[in-house]
Amino acid sequence: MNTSFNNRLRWLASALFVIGMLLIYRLFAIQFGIDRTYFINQAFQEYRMPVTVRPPRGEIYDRDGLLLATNTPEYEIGISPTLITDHQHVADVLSQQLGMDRDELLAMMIQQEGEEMPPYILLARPAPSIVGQNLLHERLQGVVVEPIPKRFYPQNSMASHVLGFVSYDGMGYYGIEGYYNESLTGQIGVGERSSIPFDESRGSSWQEGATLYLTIDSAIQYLAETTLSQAVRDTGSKTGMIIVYDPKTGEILAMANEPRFDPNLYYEGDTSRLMNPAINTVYEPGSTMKAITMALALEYGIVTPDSTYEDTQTIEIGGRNIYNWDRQGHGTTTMTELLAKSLNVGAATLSWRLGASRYYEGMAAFGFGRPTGIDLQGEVSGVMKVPGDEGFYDANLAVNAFGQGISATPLQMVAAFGALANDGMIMQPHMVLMRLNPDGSQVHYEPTVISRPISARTADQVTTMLRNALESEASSALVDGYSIAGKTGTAQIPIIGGYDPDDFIGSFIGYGPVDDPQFVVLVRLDEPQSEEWGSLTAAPVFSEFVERLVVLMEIPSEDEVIVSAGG
Amino acid sequence: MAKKPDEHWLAHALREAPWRTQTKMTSFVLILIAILVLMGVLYMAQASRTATAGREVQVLEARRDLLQQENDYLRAEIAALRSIPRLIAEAERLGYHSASPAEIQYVTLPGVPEPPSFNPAEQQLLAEFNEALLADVTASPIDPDETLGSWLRDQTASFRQGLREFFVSSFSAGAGEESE
Repeated sequence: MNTSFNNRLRWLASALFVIGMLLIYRLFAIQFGIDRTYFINQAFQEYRMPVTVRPPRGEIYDRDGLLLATNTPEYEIGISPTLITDHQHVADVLSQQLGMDRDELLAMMIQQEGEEMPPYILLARPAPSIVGQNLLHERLQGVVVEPIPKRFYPQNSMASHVLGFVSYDGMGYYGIEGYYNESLTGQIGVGERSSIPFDESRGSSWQEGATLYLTIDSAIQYLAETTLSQAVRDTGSKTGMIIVYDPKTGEILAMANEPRFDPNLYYEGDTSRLMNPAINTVYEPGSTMKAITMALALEYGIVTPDSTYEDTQTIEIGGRNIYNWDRQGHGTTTMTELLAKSLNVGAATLSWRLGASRYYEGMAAFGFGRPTGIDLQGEVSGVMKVPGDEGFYDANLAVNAFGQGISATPLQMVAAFGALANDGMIMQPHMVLMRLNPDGSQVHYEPTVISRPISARTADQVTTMLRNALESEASSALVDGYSIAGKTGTAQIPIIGGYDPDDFIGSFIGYGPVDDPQFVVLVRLDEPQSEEWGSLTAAPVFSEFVERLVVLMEIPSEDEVIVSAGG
Repeated sequence: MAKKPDEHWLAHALREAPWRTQTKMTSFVLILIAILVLMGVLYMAQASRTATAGREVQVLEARRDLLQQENDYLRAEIAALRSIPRLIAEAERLGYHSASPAEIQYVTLPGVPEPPSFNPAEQQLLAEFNEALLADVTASPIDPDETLGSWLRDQTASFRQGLREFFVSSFSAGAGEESE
């Protein structure tokens, strides 16, 4: 009996030992063996969640440190009904903040018979910052307030085409936001966060975006926009544009378009208005091109400032008759008179004497037919057909001389005039003055010469001729106390099968002061209804604008009595 | 029963009583358990403190995020309040208007550089200018100091110079004879 009991005990002990060993083996297998990875993954799924850390997007300032683009949170607001304890209070607060019906909110929170409560109900997305902030301060149980990063443009529509916009997915489009999207975004961090308090979060590091300082002067930009808005209204124009460019550095001081858009509300309205007409669209520049043709003729020695030619009513080139705008012949005409009276026959004569090879070589050096390389997204190159291209005719050489049959962006025209104002050198147009990296390092953008199509002597000669032409015609572009050089343009708008007989583009490109040019200004008014000629629409706007511009740029007038302190 | 011949009285005296062995064993086990419990308690205390600290970190991180959001919001609001259209509207409301060229008088201050600007290129030029000015301050005819003190010094120096020249021109002949 006793022996039998002892034997049973031994068997039981052996069995328990074996079971114990198996359990220990299993524990080791789970902890250190082949199942380890599986269980680690299972555990991670339980208490770790993947997170994407999107760093704050870099801010954008103007050249004087005025904030143009920053980040501000908007919020997604929802409720977890099962977690709400004080339904009445929560309904009161949400109703007040979100403007929702209180009874409707209460119905969402309280379970109805036979209905299953959803774990989460979305109430508002996006909700304004102030609403989210107020709700966060209320600390309501069961109310979920999640921030959604949003780009904010405090100046609203000011410089909107320069800045572009950022969509809800954090991608920048158009303008600076599009061109510098990578720099502004920074390095996105991907990792996982643990819900266990003493467990560290893991993942790749993130880095915030760079801050950009633009060449834009907000005061000049605002002046350009208000002047332009008024001009578009006064002339009944469809659209308009003013660009201010520093010919010595290539800095864009202002780039205004009308109409503009509010980048805070980029999703409202037609998407075509998001494009920047100064760089994203082209036009036939018209008579402003005559200044460039004259510069090339002088540069290649075809004419001198004192040369004359016999202006007949018409000239036939490449099988096409070229007429002056007034369909008149002007007889013996000087080069300055050619510019002052804006004679097509004269311009065509010059380009014809230059010949296609020299003319298009010079035009390419002026930057036509290729993008300027400005740091804005979506710049187009324009179209300049040269001999050998499909659709090139001999008549192109003649009509290109006065800005027809060739398309350019307004910025290309401004940069080309920049050469006339800057001793023949075209400076790289650029928008960013300085990039401030997150590590504190700074990248400064230095002025760069991109080409020199003409000599300083030629530039000086053309400048003198343009100034004399304006003064001889008592142009409405003149500014009291300042010597200005420039050229008007009245461009036809190409349509299928020819040109629009009714609508025109009036423009004026000028620079000054002539002795030491500090600005090039383009004014363009599209399809003005008051007058069709650029000399009557764009030129007066140029004068009005420059009269205020010189104050902002602190350029004394030439007859200014400068008081010398302490002298 | 006869006593075994090899069992010495001393061995007999030193033989441990069974109860003593059991007591020792029990004590050992109890000490072992106490050590294990102590280790457990220490581990739990440590883990608890770590968890508490971790939770505090989470709370602080949440607070930091909230403050960051508030900061972003306030920055945006300040920027909106400082926007050019608003400032101009406010200035006009207060009776100001944009200056025309005729209302501007330009004053040149010899040697005074332009005010500091955010333009980094201009700032660099300014720094170079100031450096050059400081390096060559004695040789430079430009005096950038335009304070009242410097004006008084200049006036005093000018007066002394005039006085000296007056005496030199008036008594130079006599002085020359004396020195010779």
